[in-house]
Amino acid sequence: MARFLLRRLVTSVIVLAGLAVVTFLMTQVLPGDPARTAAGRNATAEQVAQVRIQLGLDRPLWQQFTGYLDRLLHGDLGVSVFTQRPVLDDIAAMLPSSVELVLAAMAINIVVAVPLGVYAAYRRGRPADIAARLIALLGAAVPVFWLGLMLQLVFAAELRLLPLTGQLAFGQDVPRITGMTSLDALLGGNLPAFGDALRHLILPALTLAASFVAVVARTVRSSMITALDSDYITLARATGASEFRVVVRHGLRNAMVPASTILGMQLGWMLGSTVLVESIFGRTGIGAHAVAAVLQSDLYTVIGTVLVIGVVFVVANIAVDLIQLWLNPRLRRTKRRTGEPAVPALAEVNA
Amino acid sequence: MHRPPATPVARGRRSTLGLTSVVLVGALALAACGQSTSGAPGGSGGSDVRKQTLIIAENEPPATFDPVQADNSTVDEVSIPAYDTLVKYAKGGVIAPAVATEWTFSKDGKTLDLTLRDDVTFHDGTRLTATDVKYTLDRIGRLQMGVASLMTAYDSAEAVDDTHLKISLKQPYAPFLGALSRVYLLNSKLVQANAGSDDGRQWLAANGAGSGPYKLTGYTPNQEAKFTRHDGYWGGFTKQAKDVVIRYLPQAATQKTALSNGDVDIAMDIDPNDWAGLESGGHVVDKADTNVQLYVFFKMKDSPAADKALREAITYAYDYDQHQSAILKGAGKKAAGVLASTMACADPTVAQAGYDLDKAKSILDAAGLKNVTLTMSYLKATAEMEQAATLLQSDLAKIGVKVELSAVTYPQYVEMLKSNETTPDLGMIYGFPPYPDPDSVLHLQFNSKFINNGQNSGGYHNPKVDKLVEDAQKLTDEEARCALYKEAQQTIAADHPSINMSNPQYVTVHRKGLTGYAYDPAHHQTVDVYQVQVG
Repeated sequence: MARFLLRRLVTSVIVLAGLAVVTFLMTQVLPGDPARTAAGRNATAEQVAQVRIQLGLDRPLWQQFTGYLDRLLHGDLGVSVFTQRPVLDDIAAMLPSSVELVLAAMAINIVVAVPLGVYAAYRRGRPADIAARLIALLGAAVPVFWLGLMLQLVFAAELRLLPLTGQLAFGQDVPRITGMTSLDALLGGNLPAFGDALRHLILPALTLAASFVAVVARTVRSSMITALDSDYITLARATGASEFRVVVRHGLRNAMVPASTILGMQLGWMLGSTVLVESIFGRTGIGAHAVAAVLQSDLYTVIGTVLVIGVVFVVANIAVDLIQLWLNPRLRRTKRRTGEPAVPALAEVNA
Repeated sequence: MHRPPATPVARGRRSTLGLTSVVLVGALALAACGQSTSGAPGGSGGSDVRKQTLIIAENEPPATFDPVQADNSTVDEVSIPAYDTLVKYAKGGVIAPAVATEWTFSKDGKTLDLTLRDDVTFHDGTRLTATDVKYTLDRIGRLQMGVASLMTAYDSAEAVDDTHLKISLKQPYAPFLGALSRVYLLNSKLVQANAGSDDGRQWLAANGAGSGPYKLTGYTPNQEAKFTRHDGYWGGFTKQAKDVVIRYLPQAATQKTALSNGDVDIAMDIDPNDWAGLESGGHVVDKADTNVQLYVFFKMKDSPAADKALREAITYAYDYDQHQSAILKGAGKKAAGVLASTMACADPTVAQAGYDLDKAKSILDAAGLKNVTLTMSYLKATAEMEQAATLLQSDLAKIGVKVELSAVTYPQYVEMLKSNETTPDLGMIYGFPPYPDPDSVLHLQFNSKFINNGQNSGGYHNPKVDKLVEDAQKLTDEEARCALYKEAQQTIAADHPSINMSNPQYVTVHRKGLTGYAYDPAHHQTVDVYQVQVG
């Protein structure tokens, strides 16, 4: 186990280093001049030149790059040419809120998609199966943007059940501990604020989750079908186990292996998809921050946010591997003997 | 080990809709549970507090709260409540006193003497003196960013005593006084105490150091900025809001819902199609004339557009009326020349082309121009630009001029303008004069100094215009200045360096019961919250 983790950590560092190099090079071809952005729209040539020197952008590319790598190794992501704050500070201010949104969406995703997939597989080919698949498909087919606005219209503007935008109602205040509003309210012992933060989270999380539900539901359904057809299910039934135990304990546990891979990847994608949702619902977040950075050719912020999203991908991947090892003990044995990669092929899992 | 069949799976056997209902009930229960603990949505729990709070919806968050960057509207907007300026523009484009009560330019136009109020206190209680003003100006001079671009003439300042300041300029520069309307005065002791190694930039990015009517009390990035009343404000208060919140809601549709819900009081980015509906629903739609103009600049060198006849023909081929009615929905005026008519010294007699296809065709025929193809770049940022670009393309097709459109971002456009080779034949862009002095259009957009660097987008070069504008900068006599600006406008009009497409109005929608809101042409896309009365 320790050797596995170590190997994953080493490869992760290589992946992130590669990401840093590639993003740095890509920011060089971004249109726009950071020095002019910083100097302002009406700046004269001399002013832009002076700002360029201040920012170190007058030095050759390789010097800028090695300087950047050096700072990166010391955990310094540089200073934003636009906000003048350290990139890391900006990200630290934005990320928790995005993470909160992603976690809530992920919870909805799992709670909806997994039972939906299991149920569809269990009632395969029946109207219930078709209905379940339709629900999932609908979620994926509706544009995020439109869905968000419709949910706002129905639940906030018409029914007035849920708040329209923001993260806390007017007048509520929570201490900033983790940066996640709901968690901070809970930690601060402010229950009304906690409930309020949750209510602010529902619509955006639903909107974000909608497009991801279909993929997970389909994966769970297909692997569940394979699982339900296999011999060990027949065996379990023959031993007189309850139907629930058969389906969930024996069937779902195996079907969750491929689904957990998908869910892990989705964690990263969701973080990238927060852009639209955060802007519709007026939430703080890293998605909107990254887009603004690209438009303002704020290069260190661009690289910083890409790296952070990259870290989330990598961490999610390691977590998925660990979960799979836990779900399927056979993988542990296989790996020790043959040194096979930890992510198993579908066929192997369902065999 | 038997467990009761209480899962969605088991339940689903009884009803095909079982699962869906479980999910729905769960969501509603969660919602209801939240509701019971925190009262009705929209914060009506503390309704008195809400009434005393002015909430403004705005679509783009500021990069920083450091007022040195207030040359851009998002930073300007959050600086206005928190900081004082020496002077400001009153209605009609006249410069009025603020912290400075009197000022005189020396005869040679190189020094400016100012008298300051003696009752201005910063939010921490310290008194504002001439030293703070000097510090603010020097800091801008050191940083050379943002508003520094409006103050290139600044050389040094001397605090004569607490309420007297002498500013020296490198060369005579009359528009300097107007530029001071963008200089937000800093608490020098407070900033110096937190200056760090970057002249306080990092500290001021998140903290306030002003003497304005409201002090910054909190900022949630991309979400909202909060201000609360500064009770020691020298101007005093009548029925202004106790707190001010600027909420960042990028989507026009969200702003509209928030406004109708009563979650916000003022919205700055409502879709033109919603104006009528909101007005009949009891909201106030404020349409104000601006100094903003939409231009298409012609590339003046190594381009088919270098041909003056072609440029003239094109200016006659655009349907300006349709732009007013269909694109702006009536919220705008036709442009008259390169200066907006609300600007001081705007010359109404300047020749401005109207829609006349026959005239356009005859100009082309007389010049023997056939099969012309032009490239055109526009910013996709606003609906007006997008629609105007297509309208121009189809109008020009009627006179046999083919236009290849490309939508770009602002940084891309700036990059294209850096060399004549990459400059598009036609480039559509707004002119946002940073303050309503004719110099900020005629100098920044038409002086050859700014070719391939700055806002002279088409590379317009006419030595006569350069001289007129630079001479005008040296004159402190307003009438004499105006005469030169009028001549410059006539000269520019004769060269046809641009299509002056429109002079759009700025539309703000706010709830009934708010009084005192007025668009300020000197601070486009902002709200002067101190003027707004909520009671």
